[in-house]
Amino acid sequence: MRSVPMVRPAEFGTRRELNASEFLERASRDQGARNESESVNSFLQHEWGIRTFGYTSMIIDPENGQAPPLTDAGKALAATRGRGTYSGGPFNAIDDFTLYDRCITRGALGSLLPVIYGNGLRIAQSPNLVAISYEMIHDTRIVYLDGREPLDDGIEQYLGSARGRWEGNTLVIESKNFTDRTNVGVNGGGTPNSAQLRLTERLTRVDPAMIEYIATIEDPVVLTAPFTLRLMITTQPGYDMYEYGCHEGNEAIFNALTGERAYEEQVAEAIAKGLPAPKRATEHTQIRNGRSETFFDINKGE
Amino acid sequence: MRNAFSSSAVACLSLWSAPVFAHHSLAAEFDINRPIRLEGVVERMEFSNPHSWLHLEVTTASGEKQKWEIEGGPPNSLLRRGWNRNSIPPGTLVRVEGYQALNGLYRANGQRVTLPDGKSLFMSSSEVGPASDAAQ
Repeated sequence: MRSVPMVRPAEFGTRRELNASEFLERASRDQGARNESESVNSFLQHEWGIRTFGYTSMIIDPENGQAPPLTDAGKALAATRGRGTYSGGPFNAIDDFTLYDRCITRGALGSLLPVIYGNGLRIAQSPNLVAISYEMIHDTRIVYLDGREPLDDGIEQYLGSARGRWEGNTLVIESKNFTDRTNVGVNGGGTPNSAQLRLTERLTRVDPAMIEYIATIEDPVVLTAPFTLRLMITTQPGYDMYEYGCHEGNEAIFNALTGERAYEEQVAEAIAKGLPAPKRATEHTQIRNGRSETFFDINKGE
Repeated sequence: MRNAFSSSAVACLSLWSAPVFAHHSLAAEFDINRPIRLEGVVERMEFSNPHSWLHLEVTTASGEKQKWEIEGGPPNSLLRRGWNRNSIPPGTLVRVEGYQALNGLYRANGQRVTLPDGKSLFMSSSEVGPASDAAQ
């Protein structure tokens, strides 16, 4: 599903599927990406899946495949989010990082959307509940099927609270009780959600190896209209879910904060000497893969 | 593209971002203009998330012993790439290429590890590919 865009490119209009030649082009591009991930510089081996889908976009409603604009309140909420390590800084406090940077969560929907790696999903089922575990960050959502009442409105959780029911062969999951601290986009980024988020998911096993997943996102505070997206959850032979205890090796916050302090010292030193402040080291200025990049030799004391 | 996780107006208006990011930005933690190469003896490999860490003792030309920590990809990616816990046993002399931490500590983002027999392992945890090594 990684090659299916979330938002539909304008040229497809209201068309949901690629035609034969467009599909062939995508399939060939996917195979190229697979080959590259197997043999060239990448840690993304086995992260490209084995199937190509002909959807023109994940968003299927509205008809044009476009995401609805944010409300003013939605824009204001987005501005409260931690800027994250991709912002280039400055990094001064924990709020400058995202929940994903901090290994807290990627959110109920953002944990399931296709990303660069760690796309594994495990769905365990019993007569009374379904547990959905996401590989990266390793959140698990418990979906009760026993007809119990939803949680009280005052209770808010990062992943919300989920209640499920069967409609024929389709598992319908309705979730609410979200916090207003998460986002509904890829890896928990992108569009913010308020505590009024309602997430309705429909999972249908359409084939022994595939589950069609359709999610409707409603958030009257943030979104000017609801929207619905569709993707396919698939099996992949040989792909195992590995444990992802995220906090134990998460040095990123320490590295970014101490990197910021080192930069402040460099700026103070330059100013004391009457020199212009140094630039942040976020732009790569050396040539790579072309011939050379000069290495500093640590053993020689460089 | 850099705004995928940011709260900037661009990111919130664009709504969805291309899913091409690793967990953390390399440039926020490591100096991408300070590619380093070092040789050292492996003390241990930590297979932890969201990044693995290879611990090395490096001896400089002046005889100084430095304890280096090299960040690698998440265990699930390294395992799928063919690594395992015993790929680099303690005591192995390895050469590492990567990028030193901005904070100046003996810490780096590892890109490539070369073993004594010449075999090399890719350990990148971030979006920058191995330096000068397109065909690795």
